[in-house]
Amino acid sequence: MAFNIDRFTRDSVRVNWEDLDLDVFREDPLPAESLRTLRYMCDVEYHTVCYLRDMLVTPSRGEGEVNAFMTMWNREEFWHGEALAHVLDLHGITVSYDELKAKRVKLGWRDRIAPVKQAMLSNIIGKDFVAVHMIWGAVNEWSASAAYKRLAALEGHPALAVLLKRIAAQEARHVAFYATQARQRLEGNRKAQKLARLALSTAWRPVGSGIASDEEVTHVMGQLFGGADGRKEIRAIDAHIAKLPGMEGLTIVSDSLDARGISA
Amino acid sequence: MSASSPAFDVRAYVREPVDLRPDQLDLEAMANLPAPVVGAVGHLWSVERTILDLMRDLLVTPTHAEARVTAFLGTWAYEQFWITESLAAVLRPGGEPTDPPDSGVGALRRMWDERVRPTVDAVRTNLLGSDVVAAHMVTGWLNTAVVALAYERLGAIDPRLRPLTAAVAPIKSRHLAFYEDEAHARLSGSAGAIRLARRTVTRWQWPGVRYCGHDAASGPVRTLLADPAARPGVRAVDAGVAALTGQADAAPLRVALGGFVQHSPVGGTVRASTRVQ
Ligand SMILES: [Fe+2]
Ligand SMILES: [Fe+2]
Repeated sequence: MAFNIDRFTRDSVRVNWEDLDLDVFREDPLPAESLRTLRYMCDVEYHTVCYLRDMLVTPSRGEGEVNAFMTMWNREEFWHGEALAHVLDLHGITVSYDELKAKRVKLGWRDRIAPVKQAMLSNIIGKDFVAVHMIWGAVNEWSASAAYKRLAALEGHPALAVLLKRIAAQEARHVAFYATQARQRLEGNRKAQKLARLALSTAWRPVGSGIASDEEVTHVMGQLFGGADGRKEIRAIDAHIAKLPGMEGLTIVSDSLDARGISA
Repeated sequence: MSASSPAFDVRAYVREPVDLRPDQLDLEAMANLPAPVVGAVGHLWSVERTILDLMRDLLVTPTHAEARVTAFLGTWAYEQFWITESLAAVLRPGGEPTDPPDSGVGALRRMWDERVRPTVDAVRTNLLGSDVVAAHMVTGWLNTAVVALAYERLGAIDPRLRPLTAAVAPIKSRHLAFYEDEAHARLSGSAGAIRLARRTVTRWQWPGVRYCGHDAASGPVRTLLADPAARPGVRAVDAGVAALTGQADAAPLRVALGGFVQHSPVGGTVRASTRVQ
């Protein structure tokens, strides 16, 4: 999967929904469990700027291509948040800046100290940390892409499906960036491979685990990835990860579902 | 905070970004610029491209929780990215633009900024609390106002650059409006915020000298601002800051420009070398 940064920056647009007939939700609303999942995804998207912050204190910043990507990526993810906020708004669920602020403040010291931990860790580890960041990003983008595709299929709502597929298409480009970077940085670097493997197998949690309660994570993962079809998607992610240098045999995403008791 | 709540419409701003892409400019018409002008454009490129440095410095502090501010910053970074690309495209006929080399002290500062400061700032500013946000907004205004003035001057110095500088001006105006609005709202009624903002303004330096030192920037700064025609603009920036922070005696740009006199090659960089941060 090749990635061309010039093309990516040139073509980066905010996801749009103005052409979609989403107003039908006013008469024909989505079920509560889907709204709960959308709310979770909306929070994750808006939280991207905080992940960005944690990355900016590491050696990942500073390289031209990475900086260009981060700028576009952060904006695209913000608009994923705005798009989902719009859908929620049509259901009478308002996600305001004040509310987002309250959420970030509520995360408290654990969140505020996150960049400190990242900075210290990356200072100790050095450049190999970038490889870990990239593979971590790849796993999260694979998960996001799969989540949107699953929700589009599960809901079967025509306008929503188009919106979610547009978002998923952008997530797929994010995957291409992170996976390409991860592969380049892991290839032939045993130390980085070991580090990435250790980080993924011990510290990786489904996207959103840091900001939502355990109960919410289990609900969302269960709704999207429970059952045979869902598990198929998850196995595909694990297979992608396993193909990266030094990651053979890792099944972290399946493992995280098993640990939450989500049936295959 | 009803009386002082910000009025700038962030949602409208993020919806309509202005991306000044290189292909919107007649680059051929901007070729063969005189060396001092190229130097000034190069300096601006180097200043404008510190997008993610600025984001890092803001996001490790309590400012990261301000969803209004982070929403603004995401679009601001996008606009800044395309300004930087356009400046690079103007410079490219003379070779790929590069940052000036770090001075001796600058290299130490960079190491400090990249390895230590995020940690120190995260802890320090989180103890200070939300007053820090106001100081950030004042700094944002000041940096933007100075760069906007530089573009204005650039257009006056070499009319061939006017299509570029005229396109940048409205982008900067919106940034200024945001910062001004946020600064007003956050400074009003907070003695702590005013105190912090005042300290930040006092310590402010010309953007882009932190690593390369005053010597490397003095040529471009002279090109841009030495002409008496630049004086009203300089005064306007200082007056704008004074109005923001509620203190009539603030003149950070005048003070910072004085730094270039002190740091002339003959005088060396004595003062700068005594402090790392
Ligand atoms: Fe996203
Ligand atoms: Fe993404």
